[in-house]
Amino acid sequence: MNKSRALLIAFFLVVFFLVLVGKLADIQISKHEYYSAKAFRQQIDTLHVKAERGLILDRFGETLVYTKDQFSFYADTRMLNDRKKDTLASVFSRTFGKDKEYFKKILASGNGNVCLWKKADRDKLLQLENITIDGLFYEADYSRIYPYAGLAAHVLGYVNRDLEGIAGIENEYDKFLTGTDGFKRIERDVIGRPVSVDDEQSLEPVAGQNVHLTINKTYQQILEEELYFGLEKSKGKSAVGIIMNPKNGEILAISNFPTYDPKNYSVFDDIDRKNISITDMYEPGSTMKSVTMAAILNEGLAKESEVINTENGVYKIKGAKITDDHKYEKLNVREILEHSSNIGMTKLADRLDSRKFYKYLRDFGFGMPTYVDLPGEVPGMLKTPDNYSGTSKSFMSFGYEIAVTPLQMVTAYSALINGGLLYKPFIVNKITNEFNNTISEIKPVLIRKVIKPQISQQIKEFMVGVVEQGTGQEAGIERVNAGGKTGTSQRWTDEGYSKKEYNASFIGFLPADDPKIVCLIVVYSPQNGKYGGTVAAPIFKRAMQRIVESDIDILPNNVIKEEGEYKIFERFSFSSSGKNVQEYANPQKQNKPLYEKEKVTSRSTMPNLRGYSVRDAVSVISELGLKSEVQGRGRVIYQSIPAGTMIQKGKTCEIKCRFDRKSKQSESK
Amino acid sequence: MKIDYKIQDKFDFGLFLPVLSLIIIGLLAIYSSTVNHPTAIGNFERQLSWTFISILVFFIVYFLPQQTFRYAAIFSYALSIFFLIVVLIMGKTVYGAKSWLAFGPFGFQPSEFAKIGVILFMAYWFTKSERNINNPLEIGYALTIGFLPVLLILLEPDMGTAIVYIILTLAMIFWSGISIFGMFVVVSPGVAAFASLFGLHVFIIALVFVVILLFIFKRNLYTNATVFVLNLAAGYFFDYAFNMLKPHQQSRITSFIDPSSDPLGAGYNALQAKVAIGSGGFWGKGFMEGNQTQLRFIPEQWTDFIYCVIGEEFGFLGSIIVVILFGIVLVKILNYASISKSKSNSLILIGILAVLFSHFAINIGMNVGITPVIGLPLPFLSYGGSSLLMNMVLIGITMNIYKNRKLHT
Repeated sequence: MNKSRALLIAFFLVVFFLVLVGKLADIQISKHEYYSAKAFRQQIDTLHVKAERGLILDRFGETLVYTKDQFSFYADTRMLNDRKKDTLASVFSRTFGKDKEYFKKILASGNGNVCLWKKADRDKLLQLENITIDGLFYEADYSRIYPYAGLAAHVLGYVNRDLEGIAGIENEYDKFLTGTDGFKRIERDVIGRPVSVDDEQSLEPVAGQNVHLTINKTYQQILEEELYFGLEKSKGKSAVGIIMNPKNGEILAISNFPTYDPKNYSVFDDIDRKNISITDMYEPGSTMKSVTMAAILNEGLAKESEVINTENGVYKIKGAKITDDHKYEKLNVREILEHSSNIGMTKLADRLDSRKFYKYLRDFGFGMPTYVDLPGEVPGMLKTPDNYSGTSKSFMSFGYEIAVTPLQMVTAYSALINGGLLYKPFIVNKITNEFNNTISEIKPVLIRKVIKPQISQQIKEFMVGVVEQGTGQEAGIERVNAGGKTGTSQRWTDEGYSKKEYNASFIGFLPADDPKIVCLIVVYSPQNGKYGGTVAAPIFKRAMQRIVESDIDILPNNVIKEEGEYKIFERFSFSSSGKNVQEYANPQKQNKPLYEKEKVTSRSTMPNLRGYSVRDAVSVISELGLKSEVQGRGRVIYQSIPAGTMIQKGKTCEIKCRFDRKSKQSESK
Repeated sequence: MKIDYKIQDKFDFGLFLPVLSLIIIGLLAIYSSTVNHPTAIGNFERQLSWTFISILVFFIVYFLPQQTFRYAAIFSYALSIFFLIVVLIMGKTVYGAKSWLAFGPFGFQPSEFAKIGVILFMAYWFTKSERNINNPLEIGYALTIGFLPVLLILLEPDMGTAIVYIILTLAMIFWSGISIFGMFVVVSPGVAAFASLFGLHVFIIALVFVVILLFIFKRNLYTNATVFVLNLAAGYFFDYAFNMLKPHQQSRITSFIDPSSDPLGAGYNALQAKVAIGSGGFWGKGFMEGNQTQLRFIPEQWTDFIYCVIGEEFGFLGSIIVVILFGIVLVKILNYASISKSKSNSLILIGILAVLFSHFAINIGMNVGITPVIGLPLPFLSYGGSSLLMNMVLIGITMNIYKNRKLHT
């Protein structure tokens, strides 16, 4: 029956089959190349493998900044139906302890890739690795960790989201820290999981190098705490503290307030993030007198015992009136410095030829950058003799009409007290690779000889006098001879020199016979007190007292370093919880009491290093007081000191590492 | 009456072997796409057990007495409608459609098995008494029988299966001997409805064609007006129904009409399927070697996209073999239908042909990108117990009718 209709259906079937065969031939034969290329493109990928960023360590190898492997989880909503979204939300809610609705909302929020969780730790990845839902994938996402929060924030600097150094050492040494990125030829499945790696066509990344600072973490901590304490007490606007080794220009600590938290740098203002110890200049005031005095003595234009008429506090010169706060009829040269007499200084400076004076100031490093290895330095302001007015030399002799950075001041003082040698200040002393092998060591750079050693010795003695019987008595320290010079300068404001706003500074050194530390403290616009001797000197004293207690090597050799003797110092110890610094540094009070690295350090048993990157493992081992010996690269698979055993410092822990497939996966993308 | 007792005459290996080959090719493809897939472990083993069950059921159906299909017609249709209602009330939602009825660990899709009910009952209804199928009332009855399940299935909503039922119903009405004008009246509203999807202009052009054809048929004004209004109403209703669809279903239709509109959404699967098939080339990449498959670029590939596993791993050669095997099966069924001496059996066979062909055409069509992505399994190859079992029942009925073809004169 129905032959014609059967034929009609048959015809229809034949047409359909022909269309189908034609289409198949089109796709599989004529467009085969096109689709193969398309398949290749989505399956084979050249992945950029980011090199791990190097560590920043202090002078004793303590880690101040490191990079942590973290993982961000994404979901492709196009590949998820409602049921899968629901499962995914419950899994994430269980793993991260957040409300299920929170994840559901994220999954409903976009068509395409959505980020479910940013920067989760490795253990979360392990928990989630067994869950296979098409459309869920993750990628390695590194975080820069500052284990001591805001400590040395201005030195360390910070990185942006892509871990590029933006400020501080992170910026200055960015190309060392970054390392060389590698790439991988990878075959990956639909959710981006690499399935196999073509090693022949891959290049392993070279991890960034470690930057070892000259910073002494203990000094840094003490300086920050005491500077903060002093700033709070004096109600100043801001403050700077610098500690330097005068013998070679090593910077041991730099602290600025206000400060910021490198991790959350974006919530702070520019002014908080600025390293004002090198980016801002100030008129130093009386601390400049030591420099002028050194020039005069070096030229042989005055003798220590020579008596100068100091006019009982008021002296007119070329229409300007110079006054002394402490009035004296007459003072000898030494006393002029001890009592910080502007009039005495003016009279002495008059003996010095303008060009000579200028040359000395240049030789001490003023008016040009110190070329310290930190970004953003300014050269300061130094008038050339052609531009001097009649009173310029006089004002400059006691620190006006000249603007310097705090770092320039400390550098000049180092030369003043170390026998007359000007060193280039520096903050990085060593670069090592990821296995802690030294790549390069930075040697101190002697710039020039500025004054004769005996003049240096003389000035040093004068400055000891400042602390013993002069304006700097507040800086006196138990058991150690210290020297120094106070400085109080009126701040230049729109209405000329302010009668209300001062910069109070003190710059001191110890021990006097063989200075190992020179330290500058500047407090800008203090409200309680205005003199360097009353505002800045006590900060110096408190900080130095604690540093001397913490570091017995500072003490001069003639002081008996016996335990019983040494205990005397303990009563000067101030509570050093570090809380102040953090509160100041962290406006959101995100106090993270458990510094991840410290947690490890405080342990007395060996932690399990399995799965750590070489870099992390080496830094943990070194913090435990052990030596490390590394074999291979990648992730730790073996440690010679088993986890859980008691640590005996000084022993060597051997670790073996390997790139296993898992670690490759986690490192990809 | 001469009866040939040779086994060849009773059991058509020419139909059975192609079907068996398709099942085996399907098993290979399921194995390749699931054995390394973390969420589909065990699918191959399950499908293998279903294969044995289905072949067993096939033989049971094959040996059933001929009359069973007539006797069972009313009952199976009523049962089908019953389950289609039950599934709407207490069914489980799978892939967005409330289509799964679970009994403890077991379950099935009523919409799969209802095909048998509809085929048997429509064949029974057309041949129960002498009918003038060109009578509008009779057409109305026939459409009601076929479209009642369509309505229930659309409520699940499972558009793909509903389309199969529509094709099934139209094919059987066509085969029952309806006049060309009658077919025109039945089909034109559907065409008008489809045209409305492409916008007002296309819809108006379709209506103009309807009017021209009405002039050619030269019917009276009353009939013409009725048909025209039917077309108009179909267009409006379809537009309304389209807006009732779930967004993902809408986007599947629109992305087919304009593939560039949503290249990463509904178009994703279609594109990935094409990439898989196209990258297979002439010879294919070899069994278990298809990286598009092994890397899981196509979600749930073992169900609706099984054909691209074959296309990728067995190439143009494998794809063509599958198409040829289907061609043999479909042409054989059409041949049986046209030589069958019983009108009822003939109608049953056309129903079976319609079901198998629509599944085949829509599934392979969406794999190679000539039809929209509508979730329909490929008969005999796709993973799924209900589907395989039902298709083997249909083949069982086909071969049963073939076995008994000489009983009626």
